[in-house]
Amino acid sequence: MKFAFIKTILSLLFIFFVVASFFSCSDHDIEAVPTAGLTKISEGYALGAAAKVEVWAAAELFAGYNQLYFALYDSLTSQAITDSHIHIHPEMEMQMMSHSCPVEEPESEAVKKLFPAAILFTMPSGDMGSWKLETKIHNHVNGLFGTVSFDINVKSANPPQVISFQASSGERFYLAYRFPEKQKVGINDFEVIAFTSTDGKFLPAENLTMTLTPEMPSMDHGSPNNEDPAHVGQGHYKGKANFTMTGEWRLQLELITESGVLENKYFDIVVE
Amino acid sequence: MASSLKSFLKVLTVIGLFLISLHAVLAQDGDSLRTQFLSEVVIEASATEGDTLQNFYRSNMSSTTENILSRMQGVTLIRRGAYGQEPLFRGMSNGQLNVTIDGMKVFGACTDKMDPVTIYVEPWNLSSIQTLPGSQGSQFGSTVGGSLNMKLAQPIVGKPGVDGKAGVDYHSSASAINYFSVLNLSRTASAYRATITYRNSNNYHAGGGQEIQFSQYEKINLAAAGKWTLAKLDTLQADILFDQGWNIGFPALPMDVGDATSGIYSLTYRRVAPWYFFHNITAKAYHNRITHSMDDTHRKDVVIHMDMPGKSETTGIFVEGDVHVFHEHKTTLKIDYFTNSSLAEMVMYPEEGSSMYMQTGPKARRQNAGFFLNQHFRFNRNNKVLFSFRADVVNDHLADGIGKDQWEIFDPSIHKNTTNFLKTFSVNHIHNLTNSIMLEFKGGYGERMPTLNERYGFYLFNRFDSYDYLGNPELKNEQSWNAEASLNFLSSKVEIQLAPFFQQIDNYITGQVSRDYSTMTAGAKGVKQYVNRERAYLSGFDFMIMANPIPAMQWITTVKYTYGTFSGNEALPLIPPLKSVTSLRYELKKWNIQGEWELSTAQKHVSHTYGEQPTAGYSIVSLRTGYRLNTTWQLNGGVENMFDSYYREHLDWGGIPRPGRNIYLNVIYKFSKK
Repeated sequence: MKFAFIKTILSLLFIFFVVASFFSCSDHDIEAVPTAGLTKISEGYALGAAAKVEVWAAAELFAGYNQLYFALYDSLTSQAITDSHIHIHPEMEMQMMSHSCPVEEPESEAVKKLFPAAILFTMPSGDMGSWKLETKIHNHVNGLFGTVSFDINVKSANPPQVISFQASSGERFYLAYRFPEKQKVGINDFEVIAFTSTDGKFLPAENLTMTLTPEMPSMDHGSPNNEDPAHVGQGHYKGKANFTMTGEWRLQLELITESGVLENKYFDIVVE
Repeated sequence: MASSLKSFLKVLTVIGLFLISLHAVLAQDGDSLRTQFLSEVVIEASATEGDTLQNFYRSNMSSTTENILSRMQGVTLIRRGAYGQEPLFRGMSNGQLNVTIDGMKVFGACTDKMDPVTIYVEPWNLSSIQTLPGSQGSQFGSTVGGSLNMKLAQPIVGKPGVDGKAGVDYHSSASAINYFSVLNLSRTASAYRATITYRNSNNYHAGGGQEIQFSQYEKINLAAAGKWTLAKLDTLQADILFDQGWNIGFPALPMDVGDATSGIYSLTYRRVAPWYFFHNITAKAYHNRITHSMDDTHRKDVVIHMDMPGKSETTGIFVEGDVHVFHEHKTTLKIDYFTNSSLAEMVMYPEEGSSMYMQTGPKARRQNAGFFLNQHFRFNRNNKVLFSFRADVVNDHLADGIGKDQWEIFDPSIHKNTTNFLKTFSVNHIHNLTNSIMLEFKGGYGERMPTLNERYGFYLFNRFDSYDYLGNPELKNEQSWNAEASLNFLSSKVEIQLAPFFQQIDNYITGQVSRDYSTMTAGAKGVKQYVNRERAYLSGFDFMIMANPIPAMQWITTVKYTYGTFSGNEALPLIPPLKSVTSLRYELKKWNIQGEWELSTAQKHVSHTYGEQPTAGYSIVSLRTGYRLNTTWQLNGGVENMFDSYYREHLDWGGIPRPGRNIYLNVIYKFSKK
């Protein structure tokens, strides 16, 4: 008798857990926070566009190729704005002069409520001068224009993640790189971003041929079966870099143009 | 080549003639107690104390397991240091051989073969060492080269009492101290055995007095065994074997061993009484763990300091028993399984910047399940046929992580799992020609898997040819046909065995220069990758004579010879030349004296593609003596390499000479209480 009672209780408990587990498993579309995992660089109001602008990046900004994410919110309702034109213009103000750097502007439609963009900072903030990021907004929701300027800090990267050099033609080249995934032992997707500048304007360098040779300076050996970065558009060159062990690697790049070898340059990286 | 073959044939003819003449002179009836005398060497058993062969193999009481092996027929050691030498059996080594401890699979943890399994076992742990050539060794696993099984000493139940012995000795060449003690306790239904061995050796001196730097070593070995009678004829035995070596120098290598530790544990159930169709059942479950770390901190001019730890863990089980189906035709069955996990790592510390890590032996696991059948057919008194068959299924699993990521660079579609099937079979025909002459023909086919290092090894530097070795996940199994004929002559005064052998190995696994890859190790000449070479041939013979010309005198001579080529007549590397050891022992009541003459011919048949150098022949003489004070105390002493010859054997790496004159003294204490 008593036993039957316990049995009933246990059965009820069992049913309860089964039902509960069904509920908890059901697809609740929990809305992912779009900026999850990102670092907020700055925020401000674009006066005139009735929009709050937030600037996000994967990490603190550094001299090199940085992917940035702009988030726009209606300054009254705090609703995310997903349709807007954004024009960005970074500028380094130095004592005697000022200059910009290569930029990849956002598309006018947001991806997951964020507007991705990229800036190739050619030098860090410091004694030489400081960076400002001017952002012009054309809010397609209300049709208003506005501007906000951010004071941003760009760290120096060690080892350097940007190379610049002047070719004999007088053209200036800027090279940076990125690893879509954190670099590890094994095969790594590797991307070189190349720009040229003439008269202060930056254009993607689209006619380079590159050969990639990773090597370990302290060991005097390399790795096999690497894939030379090949142009995929907008000055982006995609290839594969192979690392046979952790430690400090040097990514040797031979840059070739139609008129011959342009330059041999390298990036030093640490594989953890 | 042609001349070596000719000289080989000449030697065979001479030996043959010698045997025939001996037979004519000594045609007497003899016992055939020792028909196995080449394949099993008794290390320790009170019953055989003072045994001729035992005195021969175990030349002095502090002989290491590898010293004993080096005297065995067909066995030679690849020597990289004073301790930690790798056994080679008739030109085959490493993955070609099964090296087992009491049937247990144990795999060394060092990718550079600095810890052959034999270093983790001391002679005091053992009762005997068995060698089974070629496919004959399949009881211990699929193999092409054969099996080398070290049988553990068992406690003896049912002879109540306590006995023990202890000994200490000193060797002058290396200022070495060796200590051992053994304790046996027996009761009516249980028995226990415990042993301790400690060795401490400094740098030894070669002939002429040159000190060989980095030839020191130190180690301790502790073993305990218990055996309990469960029921009549049923026993359970537990064995624990712990061995730790440290500061083991390897003069022929760029690094030494900082620590090499093994723990070997097993539980064995034996049942003699029948159970259904079966009898003599043995079931064993075991586990062992080996950790190994190399050390370059004592070396000068180290380009880059590095740590190289490795570990290997094996768990297994086997059950074997005889089946009574055909009355006098014995059938033996065995099923076995083991799983081995291994990982070898390397961390390099450059003077500046961050450390570098890779897995030289990527994390991997091998599982092997096997079935073995052995059938005896006894046709008549003079003819016996043994047939054995073995089938294995082996699965290799490359674990996710850095090791696999490293490999994807070379082979982006590398398989995580690889399964292979292997088969081995052999046939023996034993024919008693007369009461004193026995002929034995052995033949068979065997296969072996590439080792995990041959499959997944990642830039393993080999000092022998100074190449970085890269594994090859696509390696095929080695396959081998082997044949051996042995002629045994037995009489009360003389025992002779001559065993010529021949073996053909297809898909022979060896390194081949690969120009696609750049070296990893500073100073390496290039990169070699393991490949299957079409074919290799090994031939040779083992010869032994044991005689008592006069009752107090024992004479033993052994000769071993191997000749190896790849197809196309290119020499195989690391093949020993002809070697002979002769021992004459004279026993008086309390005294014994033993003279030994060791002789090796030069090796000129060398592999140029492996940069192998010819080695000169040598001849050394040793003298040993022993004195029994009473039943308790015994003194032994001797001079090894009496004339202080400067010499090396062909398989000694790096041109490092062997020890020069060595004077040793040894004291043994024994006791026994009923």
